[in-house]
Amino acid sequence: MMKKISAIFSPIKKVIKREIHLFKKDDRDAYIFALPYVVLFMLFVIIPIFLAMLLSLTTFDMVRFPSFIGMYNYIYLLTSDEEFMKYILPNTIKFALIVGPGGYILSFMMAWALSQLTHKVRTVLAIILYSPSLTAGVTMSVVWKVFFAGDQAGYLNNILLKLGLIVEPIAFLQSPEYLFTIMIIVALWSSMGIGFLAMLAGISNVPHELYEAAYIDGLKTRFQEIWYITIPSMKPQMLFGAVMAIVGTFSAGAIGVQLSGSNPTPQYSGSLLLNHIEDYGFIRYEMGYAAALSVILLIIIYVFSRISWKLFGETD
Amino acid sequence: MKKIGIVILSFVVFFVVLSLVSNRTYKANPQISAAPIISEDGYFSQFLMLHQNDFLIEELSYVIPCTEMILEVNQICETDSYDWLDDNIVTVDVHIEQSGLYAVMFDYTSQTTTHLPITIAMSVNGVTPYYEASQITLRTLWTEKTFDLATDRYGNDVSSEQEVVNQSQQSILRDSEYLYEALYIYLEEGDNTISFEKEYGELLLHTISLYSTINYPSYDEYLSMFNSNEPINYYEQIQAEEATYKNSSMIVRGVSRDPLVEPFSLTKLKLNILGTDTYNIAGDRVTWTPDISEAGWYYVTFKVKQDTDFRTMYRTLYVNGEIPFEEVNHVAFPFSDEWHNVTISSLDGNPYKIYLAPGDNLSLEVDSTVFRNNIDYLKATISEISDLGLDVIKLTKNNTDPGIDWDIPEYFPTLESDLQGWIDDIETVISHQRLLDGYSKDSQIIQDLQAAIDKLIQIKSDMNELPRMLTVLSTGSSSALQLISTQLDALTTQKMEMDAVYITSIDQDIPDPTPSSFQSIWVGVERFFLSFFDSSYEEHASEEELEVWVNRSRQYADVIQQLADKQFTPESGVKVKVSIINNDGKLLLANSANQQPDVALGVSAWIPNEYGMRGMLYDLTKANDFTDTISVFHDEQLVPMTYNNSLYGLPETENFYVLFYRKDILVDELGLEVPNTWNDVLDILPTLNRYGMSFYVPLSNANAFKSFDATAPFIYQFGGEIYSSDGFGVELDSVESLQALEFMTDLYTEYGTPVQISSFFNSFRYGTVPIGIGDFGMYLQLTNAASDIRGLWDIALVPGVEHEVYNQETSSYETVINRSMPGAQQASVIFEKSDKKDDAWKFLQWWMATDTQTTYSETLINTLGSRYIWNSANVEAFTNLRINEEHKSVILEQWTNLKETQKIPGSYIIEREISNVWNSVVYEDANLRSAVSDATIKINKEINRKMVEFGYLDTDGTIQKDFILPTKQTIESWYNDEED
Repeated sequence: MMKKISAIFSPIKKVIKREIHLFKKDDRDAYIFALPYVVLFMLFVIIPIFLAMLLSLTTFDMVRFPSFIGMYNYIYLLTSDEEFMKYILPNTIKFALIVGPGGYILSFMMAWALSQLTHKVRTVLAIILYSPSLTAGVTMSVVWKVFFAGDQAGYLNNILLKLGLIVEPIAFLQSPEYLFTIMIIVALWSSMGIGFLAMLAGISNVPHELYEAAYIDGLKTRFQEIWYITIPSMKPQMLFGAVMAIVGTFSAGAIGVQLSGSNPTPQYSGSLLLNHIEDYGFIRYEMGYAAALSVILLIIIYVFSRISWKLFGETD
Repeated sequence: MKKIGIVILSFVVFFVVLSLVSNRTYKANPQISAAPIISEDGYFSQFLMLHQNDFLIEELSYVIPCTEMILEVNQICETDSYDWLDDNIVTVDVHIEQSGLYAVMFDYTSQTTTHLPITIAMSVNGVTPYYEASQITLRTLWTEKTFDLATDRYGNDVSSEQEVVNQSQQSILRDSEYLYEALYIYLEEGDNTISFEKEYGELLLHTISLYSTINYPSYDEYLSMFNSNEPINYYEQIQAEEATYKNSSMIVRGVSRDPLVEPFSLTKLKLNILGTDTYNIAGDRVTWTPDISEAGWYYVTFKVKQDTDFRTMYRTLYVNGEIPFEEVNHVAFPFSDEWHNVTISSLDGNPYKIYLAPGDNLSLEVDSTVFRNNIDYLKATISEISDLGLDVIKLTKNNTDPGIDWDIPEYFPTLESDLQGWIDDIETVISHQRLLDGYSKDSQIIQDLQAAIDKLIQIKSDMNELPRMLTVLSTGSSSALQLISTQLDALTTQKMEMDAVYITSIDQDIPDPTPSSFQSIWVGVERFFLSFFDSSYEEHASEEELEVWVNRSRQYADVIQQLADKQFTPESGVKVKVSIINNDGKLLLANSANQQPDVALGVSAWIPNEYGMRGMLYDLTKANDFTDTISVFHDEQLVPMTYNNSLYGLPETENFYVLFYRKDILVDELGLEVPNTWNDVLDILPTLNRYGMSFYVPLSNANAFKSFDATAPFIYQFGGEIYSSDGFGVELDSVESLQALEFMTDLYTEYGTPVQISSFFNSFRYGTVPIGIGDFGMYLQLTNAASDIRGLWDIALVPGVEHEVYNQETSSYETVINRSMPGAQQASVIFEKSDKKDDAWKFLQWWMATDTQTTYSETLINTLGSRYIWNSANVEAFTNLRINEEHKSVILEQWTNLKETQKIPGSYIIEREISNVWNSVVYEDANLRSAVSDATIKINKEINRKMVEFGYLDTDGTIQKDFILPTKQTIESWYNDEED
């Protein structure tokens, strides 16, 4: 028995011993340099995630003290939360699958197209393309709500009416059949975010010699150039872009609510997981359940980013 | 090195350009110039046209002391004055020796303690001679109780309370807009009867006099009137904000942080100037008393900041309440971006000497009489253009189809000449306005009028396109009509800030009011660094202070703090600290972190119930004198704050829903009647639709989520109920509720109401939605931000549903219209975790008391202006509010139809599902009944779940304890319990 325990512990002891030795020797400065980041990361990321997991095992209304209920929230989520299974999950996945890869591919295409331009034009266009993702929150209500407004004063309605394509204005932002599509359009429009910038940098960093060598080796089209040279040479940026896209699309929730002006969106047609969390947390005051939902969201994001690691991660 | 040089050079260039731009000066050369009078039927302008030859040259005057006035029964004239308290009529019989025009002067002392002026209607020999005579206003003199301003806890100045000055005034009767120097009446030779009916206000009336001519000496005559020498070495500076008195309580101090403005403070807010958003309306007059000891000729200079580009503002100077000589009737104040000194002088810049004796006072009145004819021209143009706009809509039914070829001149044969006439009129206005301003460049007003002309020319060039160019003519925010009507307000608002008045002799220099750019920059730098050390706003309430969080803007909170310091703390000995929060959602987080205040004011009406049921708030039914305190509310107002027989908050402000309608369009143009029931609405809808107009219900708002405020009224009006009587479910499938839901969806699917109207306010203004149900916010907007349709709209009770109700007293059936509407807006709460609940309750009792609410409402209006209407939930305090009396009575009657939706655990799901039912029927053509039954299942499931959470049911659905669904009866039972 003792042997068994010591068999388990001896490698751990070894590791600790080695670490202490290393720390004393020369790692100390490295640890001290990393300390501020580690402390902040613990404080603002690790501890909240841990607390959320803990909270997801309780029922908590923000006033009374949380009471422990075990896995009940997860059971309820899988068995009884009709909206979650019927609307929220399909919406979220549909949204993520279209906007994530869609925006990702769009970012890459734009970045590649821009990199073909001269330096000055590229900078200006890059700023233009990047700005929607900076200002999305503000422009949402100012630009898009007016554009899609449901009366004659709305730009789109006005244009369609003038062209004679419709007879009366369509309530784009209230009608369940249009809302989701509009959310996707708006999300794609603002998807040229930080991932796009990284890719732009990545593309311009690919050494020219590679292309020249490849052409000598028999490369024929620009597409081959992208496929065999550009993408493999900028894997880190591609990965970064992919992870940002995944995190961005899954944690996007504001779009539908801001466009329709209500949470939940009419008939849950544009409700995403994040809206559902807010619904339970701040409308129904069930923080425990909301915490369980956010744990699920975390898991989904983690799984998808593993997939992108598989695709773009450095193997060496 | 080169780069640094370029950077430095560009900085220098930048600052030089900046200082050049900021110190630009333009020479003003204003001239008094008036367009020819146009007469409008029934108005004073027409009267003047008719009687332009009736001005008398002889100076005749008749003075009627109060003893000779004919008063109503039981009214007497005591000690030479009549105490005119009640709204009744004073009549004067006067024997006139020569037919002609006479001006009327009142010698009176105002006793009115509200911000509104005294209103009087005058009639001559039983006839109202013109419209203006029915709207005569007399001002009240106000002063600050003390010029030593108190400071608040942050060291900022707190405005001083104002009081009425008990001093008699001699006022010539003028129109309420102060566009004429005097309102003349025509009196025939012989006996005449003039009667004055008071409509508002209280005053002591001393004498009424009639004058045949009102002539002032010219400046040259004035100079020869006084034989006095010029004092030497006299210099006096009066702080403009420390006025002896002013003729409106709305004229209040403002804050200027500019260097050289006195008193000055680097970090604190000083109330050191006059005229920030006040003292800019014609007729506003402020009086100062110089402290001179020697009679003689003085120069009067004002330190002002009149920074409206390329405009000249006009003021009238009075000495002892009289205009000393003709020329100071219109004193010009040119514009400048910086503070500048303006000496009372002629239009071409020669300073006038003013004769002042010790004890004399000086007044400056905002003068819009020079704009009178321009305003008349614009008004006439506006009404003609808006008539044309309506006529076009009537012709085309708002059909903008590009395929239709209209032959507009056939329908409107005079259109071309009309358009040309308007263009000519506006050009006349522009040319006179240019002279009045006297600048080589155009002011914003002239530019906008020019833009309006361009639009009219555009229409004139292609008149057949008019039906498709209504946005250019009369609807829409940049139409010619809007452009012109906004200029009306702009013209009469003469903004000018004032810091000081100087009384000097000729040999004295007045300090330069403009700070050098170094001074300005230095002050900026100092403020920037001091801002790091200013911790005053971070203070927490000390142990013995009651902490009150207010979810409102700073202005509101400041007045609460002042009132509490002045009234509540001395009475109760409890100190109060008021802090602002900008989002009531923070209360929950603050409470979880044990950082909660004792009291929160201005929280949304759903909060008391939602947080109360979770034990976060104090149950007010346990407090002392609880029923006395709540007796100021309608029972129904308390229903949404009640949970399980406990009251968790008091209503603080109350919303109202009323029917807004355009009198000009709905009644005059379309000849429709204001609907009383929803059936009436359905009757007028086809007519409205025919003209491309529609009816607005709150269901059509731009928000996809239809809250209870939009949906529940229909259900209640049709006689339905939302909850089942035990509160564990809903009754949406009852006959009445289904009827209501069907009506709500039919309005859109059958009757063609547009499903979304982004802004009722704008659509209402432009006439596309001339009728609809709006709330308090709409009322505020219409009264304050819609001068273009002032007087053209009115309010009425919301339409309802007719029911046959058995009346036990008369034992017969009678028809009653159910007009149920909600009104809960904001509430005040006490926190359960507070350790000062008794003090907190005392504070709430004081705060919601009628006296406090009335004082608060009046203080707000008096210090911040008429936009700050306080819609107190205390019904009596609201009754004391000074708004249009007819509107007020409509609102008060609508409030008797209050019907609130109770809140239970899980009521959000009901709100949500009703919204979804409406949505799926209107947009997806779902079957109403099946949608309702689907919704009912969802709702009941969620309510069950919530009831389990709160322990009313167990997981099997058996009832553990009774749930009390609050109703009016619950509230009534509290009173009965108290009696027992």
